[in-house]
Amino acid sequence: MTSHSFDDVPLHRLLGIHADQRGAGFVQYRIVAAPGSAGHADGALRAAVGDEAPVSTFAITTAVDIAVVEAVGTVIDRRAVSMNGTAELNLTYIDAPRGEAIVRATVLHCADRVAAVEARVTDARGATIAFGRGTYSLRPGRERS
Amino acid sequence: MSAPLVPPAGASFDAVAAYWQALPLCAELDIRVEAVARGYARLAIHRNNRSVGGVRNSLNGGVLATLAEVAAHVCLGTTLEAGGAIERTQDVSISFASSATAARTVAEAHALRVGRTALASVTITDGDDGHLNCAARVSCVLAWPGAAS
Repeated sequence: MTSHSFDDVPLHRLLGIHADQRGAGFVQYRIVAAPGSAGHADGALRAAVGDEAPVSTFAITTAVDIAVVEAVGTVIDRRAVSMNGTAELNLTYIDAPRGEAIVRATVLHCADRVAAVEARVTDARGATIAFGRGTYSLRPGRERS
Repeated sequence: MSAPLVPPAGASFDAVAAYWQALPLCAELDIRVEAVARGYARLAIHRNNRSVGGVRNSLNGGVLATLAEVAAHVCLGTTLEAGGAIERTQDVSISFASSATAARTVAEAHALRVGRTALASVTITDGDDGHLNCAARVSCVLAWPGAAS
């Protein structure tokens, strides 16, 4: 999937977040090296292997929240409920990424007031580097434009 | 690639602020270090077209989570002894209490424990009236000189 509108959002450009896949109940993003996705020198950057520039956890954390929100947006009936904001986000990092990161968010449950979303982050090797969950608040009623 | 090292514990406020504000992430999101002390940091984010994107014209939730993470790193960095470093974030848990709609949103981080890992609590509040936007806990893996990774 190529999404110029998503990829051109200033925050997404800053962090190197690109739309990759999107379907009913899930979205997947790629986070590539970009000025805003660089970490600090004696932390994330130390994990660099060869020429693979690592993506910082700062960029991944932002991308996971965006993915949670967008995944919920793929399943709600906007005639009946409105997006009301992330309520909770929990993210556990297992390892530092090598190269780009892939964020995939999958909706586990969606009711009229809350949605629960699972997130998983893998790196260029395919290794899981983080997992988490988001709880998203919904409000009954049509979304105001 | 040569990048500046995170300022060690005891570094001047100017050195800490300059380091973090030189990071493109902080520069572009207009995240500024306002105060540091041992085990404490206060940062502020000034809303701009990159950081806004949440409901009700609020700051993006991911940006707020990252602000909490950065604030924890700044805070925990003030507790490190010579040669110590933050290797990476281990866990971020954040609860969103209200939309962050102020022109200036403030993150205050306090170190709760520093050992092999370090834990900080972060509150994010409205810069105008101080009401709570978010409460977060962030833990980090630390690296010490000579320690096996």
